[in-house]
Amino acid sequence: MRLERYLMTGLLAVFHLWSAELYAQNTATISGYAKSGNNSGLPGVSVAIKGTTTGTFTDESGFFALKNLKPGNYTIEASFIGYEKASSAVTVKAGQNLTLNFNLKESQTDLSEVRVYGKTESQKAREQAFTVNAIETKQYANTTADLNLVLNKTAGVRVREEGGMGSDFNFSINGLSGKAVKFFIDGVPMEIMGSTMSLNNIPVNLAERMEVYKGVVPVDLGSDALGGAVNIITNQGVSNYLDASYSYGSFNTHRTALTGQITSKKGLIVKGSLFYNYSDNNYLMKGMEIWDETEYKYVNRDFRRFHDRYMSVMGQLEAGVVNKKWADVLFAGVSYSANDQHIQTGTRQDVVYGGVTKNGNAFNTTLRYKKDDLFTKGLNVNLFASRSVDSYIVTDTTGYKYYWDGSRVRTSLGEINAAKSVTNINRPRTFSRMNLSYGLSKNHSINLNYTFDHLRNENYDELITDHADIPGILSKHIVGLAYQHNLLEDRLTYTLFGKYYGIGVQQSRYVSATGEYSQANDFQSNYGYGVASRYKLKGDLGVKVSYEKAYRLQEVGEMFGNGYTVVANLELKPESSQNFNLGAYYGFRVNKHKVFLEVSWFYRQANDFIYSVVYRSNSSVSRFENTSKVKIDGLEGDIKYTYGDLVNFNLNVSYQNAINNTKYSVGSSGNNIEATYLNKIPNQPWLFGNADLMIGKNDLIGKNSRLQFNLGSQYVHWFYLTWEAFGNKAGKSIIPDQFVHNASVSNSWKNGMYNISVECKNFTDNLAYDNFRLQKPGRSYAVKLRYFIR
Amino acid sequence: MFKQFKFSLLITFSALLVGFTSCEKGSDSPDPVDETQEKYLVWLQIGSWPNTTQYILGTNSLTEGSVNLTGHGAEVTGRSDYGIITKGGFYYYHNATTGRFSKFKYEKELYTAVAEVPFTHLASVDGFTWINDKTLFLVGTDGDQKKVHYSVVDTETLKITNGVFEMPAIPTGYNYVSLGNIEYTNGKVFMQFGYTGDWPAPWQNKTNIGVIDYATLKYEKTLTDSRSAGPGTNKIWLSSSFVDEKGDAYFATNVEWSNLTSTPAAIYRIKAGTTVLDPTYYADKASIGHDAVGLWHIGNGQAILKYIDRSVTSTHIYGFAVFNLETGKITKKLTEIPFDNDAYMQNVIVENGKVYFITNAETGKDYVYEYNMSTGAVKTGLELIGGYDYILRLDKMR
Repeated sequence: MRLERYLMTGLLAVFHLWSAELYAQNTATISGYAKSGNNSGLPGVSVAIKGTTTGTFTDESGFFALKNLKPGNYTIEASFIGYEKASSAVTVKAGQNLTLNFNLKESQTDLSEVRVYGKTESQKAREQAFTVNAIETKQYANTTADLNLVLNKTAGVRVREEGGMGSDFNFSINGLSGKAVKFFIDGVPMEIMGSTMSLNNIPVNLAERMEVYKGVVPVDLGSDALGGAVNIITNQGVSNYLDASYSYGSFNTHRTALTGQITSKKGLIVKGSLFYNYSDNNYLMKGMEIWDETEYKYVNRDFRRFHDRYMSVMGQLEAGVVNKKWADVLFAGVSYSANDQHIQTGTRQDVVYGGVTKNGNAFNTTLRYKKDDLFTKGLNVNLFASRSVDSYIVTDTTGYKYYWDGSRVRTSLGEINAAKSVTNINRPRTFSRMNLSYGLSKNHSINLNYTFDHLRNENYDELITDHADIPGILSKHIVGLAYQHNLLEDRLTYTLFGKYYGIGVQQSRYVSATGEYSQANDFQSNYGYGVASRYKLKGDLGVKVSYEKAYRLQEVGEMFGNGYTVVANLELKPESSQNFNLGAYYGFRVNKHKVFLEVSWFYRQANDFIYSVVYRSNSSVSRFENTSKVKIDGLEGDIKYTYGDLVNFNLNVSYQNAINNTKYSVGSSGNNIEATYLNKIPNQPWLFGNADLMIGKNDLIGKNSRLQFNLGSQYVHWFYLTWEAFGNKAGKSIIPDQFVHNASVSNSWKNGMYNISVECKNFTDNLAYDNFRLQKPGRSYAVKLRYFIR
Repeated sequence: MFKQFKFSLLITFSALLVGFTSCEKGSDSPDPVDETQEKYLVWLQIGSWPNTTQYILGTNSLTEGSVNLTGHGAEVTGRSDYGIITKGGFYYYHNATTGRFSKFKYEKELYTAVAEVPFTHLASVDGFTWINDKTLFLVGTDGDQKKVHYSVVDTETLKITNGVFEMPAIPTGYNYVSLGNIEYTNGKVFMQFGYTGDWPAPWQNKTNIGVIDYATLKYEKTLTDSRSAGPGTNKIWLSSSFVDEKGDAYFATNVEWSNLTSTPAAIYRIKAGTTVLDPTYYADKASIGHDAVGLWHIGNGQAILKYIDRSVTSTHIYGFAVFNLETGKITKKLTEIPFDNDAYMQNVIVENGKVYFITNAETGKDYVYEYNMSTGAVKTGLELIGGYDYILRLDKMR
């Protein structure tokens, strides 16, 4: 609690400084609103400086801002489909923030002639040749959502959580999950920020938008992403802003987020981000079995979770310059993150932990540089380097067995594994990335990306030793080369790419299957390749096809074991997959009605999944093996509808069919086909969907205010825990239907500067399980206050 | 090969069919089962990691017909695993992670707990023996694996009495006590154990058998021998000890995972009414020809020996043989029975002069095999249709 108070004090101090600083600038800004005849803000209006390509779009409240303008005279034009064009001549001085409003009249003439000055970033992302979900986080900025919650609403993505805030989760894209999915922040692997940084604790306000690449991943996200990648993009603009928010909700849950940027008079830019999350996570577990000695049987009662407290904090500061002769962007940064967590359960609700804790922290330093037209026109270079240290400790030493009523009995055993342990993990890491792009001509460009990732993995049990005597060293070299060609006046675009994966693994000694110690290191090379293409048939109607042969490389621990309970397997191969996507999109507009449809089909053939296998039945040791193959295909559809700034509706449905493609089991001589060959993979959601409705109205509670109501529902169809075909159906375990509804109301004043929202998650209090019988939180409430200025 | 492929297709189609029909109906209707409980149960495991699942299938005949898991049987995963105790139509299981002791019944293709009590006295059940039809004697260690605990279970009420044996200290150089075979005869409990360190450190090169007076539950003495080592096996998985009709107790050791490469697996005997290792009796690789992993008594001075054939290169290295207890020699290798792919399986039951085996065949179909003790003939019986990764247990329920 004390930490919390310090943080709040610090936060408020920064807040004041920032607000004062924001108005002292030397470039000019023209900002204002585009409104319709009835005085409601119009989103998506293009506002541009006449005779130039400089322009922008209004946001959902109708607000626009043209920033970093040199002092001078301009004619500003506003145009929007279905409305008559409006223009205004203005003069701006240095440091001035000119307000300019447009009132657009509805047009009775032809709607087809519209000039496009630019597209929103997510529109651009959607028109890429890659299959991608592009998500603007702006619409969630007044909710208490973390990134997982927002991503979980999108097609093809399924996040399975084990509990409340900060709990472990499994993130899948088109049916591939775990290590197959990689996460990035601004193109850099999220892992380098340390294990505290995770999609389930990053507040939505820290991200500007997100892109989910499915199966086929561009080379500039240089990683071994077998099933796809999520790239979180923070505010990369050069204008100053501050976004500060705090929310309080059920289960004593606090969320604080702060992000902003200021520019000094000399042009030094400082960017900062901070978040702090805390929750007791003491939600009610319904119908838990507990022993009743007087009745001499197990009975079902409701209990609150009692050992699930979670805290995480992250602070990041970057300073640098932009638009210099020698650098478009040069920033140096530091970040620190920490978490402190009690652990209540694993993936089973009937095994209750009462003493297990996990805490850790990470330091990270970064340097990034960007320069366009370096040496020659069209050659753009983008460099990034970081050094980080991530460490965490999992403590399991109580020696008691706990029950849901909080009672316990002495067992002298660990709670997670039979042996008590204090597992220390330290991971010093060096990461660097170089990206070169070169425009050969208007329609041809190449992109070369190289990442080097060096990780030392120290893992030891403090109860046995005070250091890791066999640290594993992993170095990955990933090179990607892409060639992009645009034809037919940009109607057809395709990207051909190849990727090289070099992996070096090293361990000072490892234990072979016979129990002998040896030295080991190994270097392996693998090659991936793919193509992504998009063809625009007409206007906003297009088709996309993409393919990639992708890899997920082995880890040191998987190859060499841990020295005592996991033995080495030097024959281990990387996981690989053939990923194929086929999709189409169509967008159209009739007056204020705007519709966007997208449908895609995907196919994955993934081989050599790596799992730990008990080396011989009932033996005390295990080893990692390439155990299984999976074939997945599926369909997903997405409909977006907006009506002016009044209604925004989104519906998506995902279906995926994952089939076991393992014909012969590990160690089999290849004679008997496995019983489960070509059966549906168990314990996988295969049909799910989301619907979101937002209704908003401007100026209801005061001038320049906006009242917004959001309603969201999520459905996951029930599925079997084990193989569907085997065993009598009557006795089979299932994970039942999940149908959860959330609602929120928010109001903004002063064009979004002051915001307050109230929300209720799971308002029907339905039981929800992502994992077998493991309950997620029931109904909960939260209030959020947010201050935003730019 | 082609036949198998067709077979597998058939299974897949029928599996799909089951899936479709159940979807169409919108509810799951089990096929009618008239018998309240089948006579025999077979345990099977399917799927690759991490989707391995264990099932139980019932049958009334081991000599003919076929059983198939598609749409039939009960899933065990999540309730218990195949390391389990059975008697009188019930299963008894200690779930160490949930801290419960449960009594299960398989009936009408459902596997359900008929009674459950909290149980944390043993870190795990490392050995068991029956004192009588209603009294189950369990041994295990404390969580630190330093002390030996016991529990006496009334299997009708699941009332449990617990205690700790006063045993000699763990010898220097070793960290843990490891338990295995345990037998009750003539008022004494014989409990086989060994001492171990942290893997891969080898075990103590000795086998120990503790003698406990059941009436007082007092630890009386330790019998030791250094020609072989270790505690033998835990009968919840695999039998390697028994008491014959004369009351003589036989104990085998199992050195497969001892890291004592030159120490052979051996068989010892304690004659009825005595509390010493029979000095005239000892059998090991030298006389048997192989290292033993499992031993089942089948009557008439004979046992079934599950042995390791180290000349086999595949994972199916465990063969079966008829073993003469008196001579300590194999009388007949049952070569008609395919080699199994794992040691720790409950492979054998005996009924009316016949021995029935389950084994996971490397090639061809899976069957229950019948060995006729009087004629010496081996033949195939019940077919297990599927292509299962492991065939785990064969149990007689009534």
